[in-house]
Amino acid sequence: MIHTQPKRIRRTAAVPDFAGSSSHIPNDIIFFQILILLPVKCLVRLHSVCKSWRAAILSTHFIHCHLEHSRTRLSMVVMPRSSQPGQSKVAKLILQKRCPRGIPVFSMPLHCDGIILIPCTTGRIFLCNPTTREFVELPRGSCNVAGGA
Amino acid sequence: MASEKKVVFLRSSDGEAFEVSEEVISAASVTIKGMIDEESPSRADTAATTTLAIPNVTAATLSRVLHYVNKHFDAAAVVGRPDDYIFCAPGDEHPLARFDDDFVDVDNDTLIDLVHAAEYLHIKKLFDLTCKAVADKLKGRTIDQIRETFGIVNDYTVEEEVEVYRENSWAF
Repeated sequence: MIHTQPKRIRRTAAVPDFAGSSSHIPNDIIFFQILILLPVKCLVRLHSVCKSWRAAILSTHFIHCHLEHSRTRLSMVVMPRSSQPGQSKVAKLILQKRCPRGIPVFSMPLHCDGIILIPCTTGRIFLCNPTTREFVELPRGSCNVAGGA
Repeated sequence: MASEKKVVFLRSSDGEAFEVSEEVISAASVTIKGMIDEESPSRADTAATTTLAIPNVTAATLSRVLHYVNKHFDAAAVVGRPDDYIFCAPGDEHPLARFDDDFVDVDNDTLIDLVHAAEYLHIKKLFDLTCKAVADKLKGRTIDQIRETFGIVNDYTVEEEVEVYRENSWAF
């Protein structure tokens, strides 16, 4: 039996047949006038366009400008608090992969610039960016000063 | 003296001349207003009309731009509030919203040419409108189509491309 593998034609010289005038749009306009209008999910997809687009979209400057531009749009994150000790539902919602055992019971989450800080009662602290689905646990700090040793 | 409405002629890169009200185009385009202001002293007491060369814009694009300008900046034609509205809520529709939607419902190259023209002529409303239209178009495009739109060469190796895709597969 002959298996025909779907051919993936890679256009190394991907200059389109008619480049038109479009290729001359300066990067400044592409990123800071056009791409800046797009939602984050869309921008994440655009990482795949080419290396320089990925680098530009991930640059601090672009992220900053995009954030400023998005401030006018309101958004809301719902963080349900589980009554069961040990696990919270929000953990399952946000990070099935990164934190398979979920977040321990957390106290009041804080947020700034779209980043959510989740302090847990066990002392562990998580940071989450729901729009990019990034999630990290902060390294353990020193003991709570207010709470004594 | 009865003041006739002053007009200026704009000559496109391919040599076609377009007549437009001086008042309207000055209100619309910072670039052309600057050109007119520069010309003014020399033509103060002549009856000759001014012709301005617009070397970066073709006739096809210039005529579209002037269509937009006449619709948006001619005080006699403008109805409703003239302020910025392209980001306003749906339902809160500006009378020219429909015109704008149709105006940017053009093929890719035409739209990109309009972005260029709006930038060169410094017509902010048109620039914002066309940039937003390009952004809206991008939302529905595949990565290959986007590369084609902007004439971008894919410089990822197959492995790298797979890796970037894997990282972000949730967004596709």
